Amino acid sequence: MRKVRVRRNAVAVLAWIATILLVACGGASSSSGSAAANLNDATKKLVDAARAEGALDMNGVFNGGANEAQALIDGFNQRYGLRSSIKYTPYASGPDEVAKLIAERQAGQPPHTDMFLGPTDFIRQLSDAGTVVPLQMPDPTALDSKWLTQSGGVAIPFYTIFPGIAYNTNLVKGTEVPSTYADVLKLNVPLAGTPYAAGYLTLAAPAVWGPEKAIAYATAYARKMAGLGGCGNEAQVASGQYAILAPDCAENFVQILKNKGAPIGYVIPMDAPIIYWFWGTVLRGSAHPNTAQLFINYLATPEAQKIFYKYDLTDLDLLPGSHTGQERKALEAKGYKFYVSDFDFLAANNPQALPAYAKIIQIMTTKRG
Amino acid sequence: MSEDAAGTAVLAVQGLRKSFRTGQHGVAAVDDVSFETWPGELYTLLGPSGCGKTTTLRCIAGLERPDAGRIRIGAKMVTDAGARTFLAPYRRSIGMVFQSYAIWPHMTVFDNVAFPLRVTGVRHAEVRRRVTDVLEVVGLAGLEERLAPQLSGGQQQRTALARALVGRPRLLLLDEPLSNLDARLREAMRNELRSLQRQLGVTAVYVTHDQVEALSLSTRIAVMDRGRIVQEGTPTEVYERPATRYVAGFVGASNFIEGELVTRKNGRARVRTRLGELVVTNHATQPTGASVSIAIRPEQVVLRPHDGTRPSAVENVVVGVVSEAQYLGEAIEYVIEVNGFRVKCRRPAAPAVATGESVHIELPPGACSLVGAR
Amino acid sequence: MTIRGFEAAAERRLRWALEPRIPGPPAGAIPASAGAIAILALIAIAVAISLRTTPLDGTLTLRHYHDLLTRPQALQVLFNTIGFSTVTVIVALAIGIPIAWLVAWTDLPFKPAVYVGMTVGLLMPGFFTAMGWLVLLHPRAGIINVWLGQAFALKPGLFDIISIPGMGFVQGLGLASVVFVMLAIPLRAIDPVLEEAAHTAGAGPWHTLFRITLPLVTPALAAAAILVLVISLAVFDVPAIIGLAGRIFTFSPFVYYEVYPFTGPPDYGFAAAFSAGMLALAILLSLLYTRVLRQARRYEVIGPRSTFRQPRPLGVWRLPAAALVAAYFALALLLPFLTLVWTALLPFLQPPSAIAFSHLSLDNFSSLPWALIQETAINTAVLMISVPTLALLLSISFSWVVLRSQLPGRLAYDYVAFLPQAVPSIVFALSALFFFLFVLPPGLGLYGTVVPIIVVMALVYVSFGTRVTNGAMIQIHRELEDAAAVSGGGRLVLMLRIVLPLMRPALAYSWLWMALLAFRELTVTNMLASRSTGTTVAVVTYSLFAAGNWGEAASLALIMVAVLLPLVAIYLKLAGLGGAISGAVSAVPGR
Repeated sequence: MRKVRVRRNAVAVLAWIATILLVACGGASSSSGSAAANLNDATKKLVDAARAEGALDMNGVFNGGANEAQALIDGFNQRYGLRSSIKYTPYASGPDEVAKLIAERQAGQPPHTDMFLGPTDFIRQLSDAGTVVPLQMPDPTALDSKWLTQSGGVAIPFYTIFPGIAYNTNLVKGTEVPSTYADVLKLNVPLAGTPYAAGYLTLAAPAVWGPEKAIAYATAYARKMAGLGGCGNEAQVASGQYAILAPDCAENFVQILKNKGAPIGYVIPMDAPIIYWFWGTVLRGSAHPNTAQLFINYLATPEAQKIFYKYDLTDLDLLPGSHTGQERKALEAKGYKFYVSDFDFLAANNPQALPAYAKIIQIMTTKRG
Repeated sequence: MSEDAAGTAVLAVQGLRKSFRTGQHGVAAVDDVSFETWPGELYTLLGPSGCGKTTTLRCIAGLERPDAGRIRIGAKMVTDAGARTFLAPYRRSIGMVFQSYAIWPHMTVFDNVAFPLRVTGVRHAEVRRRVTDVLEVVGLAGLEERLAPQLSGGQQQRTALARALVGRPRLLLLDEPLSNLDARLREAMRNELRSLQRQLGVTAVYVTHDQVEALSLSTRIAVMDRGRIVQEGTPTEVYERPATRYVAGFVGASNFIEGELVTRKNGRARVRTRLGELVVTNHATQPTGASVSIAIRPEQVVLRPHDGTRPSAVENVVVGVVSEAQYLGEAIEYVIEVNGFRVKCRRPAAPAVATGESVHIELPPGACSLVGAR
Repeated sequence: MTIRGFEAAAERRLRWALEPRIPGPPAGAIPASAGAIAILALIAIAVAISLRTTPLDGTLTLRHYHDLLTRPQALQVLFNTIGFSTVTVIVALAIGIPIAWLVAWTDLPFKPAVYVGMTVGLLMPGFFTAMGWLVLLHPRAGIINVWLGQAFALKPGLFDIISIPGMGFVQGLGLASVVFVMLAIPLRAIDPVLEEAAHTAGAGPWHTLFRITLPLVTPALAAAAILVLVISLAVFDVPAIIGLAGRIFTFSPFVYYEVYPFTGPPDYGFAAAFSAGMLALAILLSLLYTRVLRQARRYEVIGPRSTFRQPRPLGVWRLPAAALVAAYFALALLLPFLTLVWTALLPFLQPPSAIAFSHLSLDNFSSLPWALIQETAINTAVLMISVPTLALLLSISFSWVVLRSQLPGRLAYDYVAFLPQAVPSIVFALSALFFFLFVLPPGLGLYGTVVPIIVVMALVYVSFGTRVTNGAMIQIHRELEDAAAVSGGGRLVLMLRIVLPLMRPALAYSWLWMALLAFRELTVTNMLASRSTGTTVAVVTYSLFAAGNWGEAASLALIMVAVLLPLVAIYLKLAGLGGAISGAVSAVPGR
């Protein structure tokens, strides 16, 4: 009798596991493609190649989460009349991804995803490690081709980021609200930081503050820093766990939170206003190179840009009719002189900025006292 | 060993009662038990498991609280259920040997035995002296540094005994201390225990289910049945003059011959049985006409070959046929059938009597006891 | 337990059991041999990496060990790890001992509920508790801190969970169930007559406690403490989630961040050197553990057992004691659960208030990357099925070699099977990552799949598995096998038709237990995950959290727990409460 009970319960367990499997397998992926837009021959060729691949691995972090990813996927499939099954995998952190990809390249293994979407310097690292391939852009967009060339022909930008100062409106009010990075240090409130010292590479650039000043600032900041978190740390500012995060990762993310009703505000600092872009690049040895090429091409089209603005509250300021472009113009009119962190900027500044950046990470990640 | 003057009971138990609740109804483990123990005697509570002997012992030790009754050790009333007096076991100056020995496994033999002295603050030199002495007495000299798990069963038992004795207790309690030893060791230990107790003169209460132990060791025995003492007496009394059928059957083997008490006169009783009319010189208390049993031990039954002659002046002689003969080494146990009734007889192996032989069996009146009917 | 861990009586029986049997082809030794080679190879890889300048083609060097002793960060991490482990041990003992005492020796009400709660506690993912407490006691915006601040007009920040004591507290809450499980049986096994003997020998309650009871319990206590120490030295979940925010690194997260650093190339050599050091420490502690455990088992029953222990009546303290035990479960399970529910339902984290309640929504659930979750759920399910199966296969083979074969050097197999208990699983993961990434040819296509994870986890669980299979196989009387052998049939038939069926209940419980452990595993899976085909749901939850998306991370954690609890219920029903506790006991390595 005991055996029967054991057997019956073992069946129950396996049934449960099987149920999980069935539910998991149940989800269908792609939507059907309808009539494609008018495409030129080069694009059609790439589309055919992509159709043969039929799938794509997309690693990235979208503020709109899986919904935004799905919108992009649907838009992409619709534009090119494809039914590709595109997988969205949010990654834990950019440096994590970059490290993994470089290690895979060194080991001669195929990369664990097809393309990389991230900020300028990460693309630079990947490019330097030989993990990317030249980018094709057969589907014409309004993006000037100089931006492709600038990256060495491997990447194009698809949206704009303004880093700055995120602050909790309950904890930092009125005259306390800083207007520069320097102001932040004057306040006596808990500060947040990121373990990869987001933004400091640019600050350490000789063209901006230079290594010494950046290190000095980071040291002073680190003394008041009460904790580290990922780039989603703005949410911790909203909750009041920290009062300020500076430099933070993105103004648009703060705006998203603000729209949800969070007590958070945003300032673009006068002493180091920066712009950088998120770029897309195709990885060497990827399983679906053609779809990847096409997808990144797609990111610069008006449909994709609309999706970005809807979910991320940002789009690419370099394109005509861009909302972010207008914001930038308005800020420049107020007197902001933006440092643009593109590939040329990195090429010129990194030799001196990178060692300082490494030191700053060390400072940030070491607990003091 | 005891400091009490001769003539004063070392232990007095009065009206002890304790029940355990199992399920809905209570089981009276101890049901109105009273007895006294005198200086230097080894008083045994004898009975099968469940008769209440261990519970009684634990009440004396203070490990159980009775529902009713009083217990006095020496001059002190240690337990008085009515007056809510209860003295904790560690204040009763007793020594106890447990059935499982309860040797502390993390201590050496020396530490085990020294424990009662150390907790009362005896000084180190004195502890050493007394422990060494008592270890020698029990025969464990040289094993002081052994750890408990390294001891054999017999050695553990001696350690337990040494520990119980080292504090010179007023009363020594032993809870079936030999039951976990194998047969040969048990016999050896029994002898040692007896000589030790006599030599030291320590008053002891001993609990066992083994009647051989009880008969061999005790000064007096209290036979217990279902929570009550049914007979108290010296080993001889209990063995040779069992008061009830239960005692007769428990303390040694017995033949039971049912019958009816016909007359009782001048210390002699006549009982009509299937074997004929038998005479018993036991002090019978049953009324005439009552159903009774005659109890007689197999080794008391006398066997004579039947050669036609009937011994004249001998009472209680019947004729029967040997139906079984079981060889036991030092004796042979015969079963003799008399009128369809089987009588067991045990006698030395030589001369042997063959089965099928016709024999006289004699049941000496002095060896017969009158007990209750079935 | 290893062979060395047996009692004298059992040693006799074992010697008899080890006598050479009917010889036969050692096919049964193949899985064990493969497993042993794998275990030793993984350790060797880590040591090898630590001794070379660059892992693949470097020269021999002691530079990494030099770095270990001179780099301030290394010393800081070591200090953090030891501090964290110490606090964990203290907290776990402080909670586990009283509860074990209450359950074993008193008439505490609702004892079955305590066993259930402890079993659930053993299986709950570490990141679940860590996230919950981080939200509760974050120094400034933690819910409890905010409430305390409001109630007592203090500045919030009274309790800072992002500290060594804070992390130790959270980990100790979780490991208290290990202490409980390690003590429940020894405490019950101590014959109460030993205390009665002390009483009749003149010792009052305090004397008895300090001279008899405590010394008897001490070996079991020591074993529990050492085990908690070994576990917390190697743990990843809690320090990674809570510690990172405060820049407090302990050993396992540190190794991870040396392999996937924030900037610059990974320093495998340094990570491997640190790992080798911790490995040596852990092995020493495990040897000590085995010795202490052997001592504890000696005290269990000496001689024939007499009375059974009457539970000590708590009287008026009955309900307060029950309340205290309930309070522990509230802290360890209920509070984190409620907190995560709260976190999952909010678009951004805020303490409970009227405004907060108006923000409640299921957005976090709907915006989870469901396609990814579906895929990783399959991976998790595959893991849950294959890891226990492979682990038990290896374990049966190990036990067969040690207990039933006549292979020379078979005792060595037992020692090798014991090793994974001592090795921090991050070290295995590091070696395996290296092996599958760099050493194996890419054409095999194993990197980035669940295969490396299955292999590593099965090897990690071999220690536990062999405890169970050793114990079960020892119980099978030799004569049963001899009778089968005489009736005809080779060794394989013997194994399949006699030995395995007799072991079935033990195998079933341990299979299910390992499946449940595999469900929530984060250390190895996080290290080896890259492609979505090789990622599990636990890793996705952690990634969401690490990216700062606490709302989604909480939602996914809750979904994981919702899947876990029914499986735990099935396990409890299968094993029965008594079986659950003894199953859990053998789950704890070494018993």
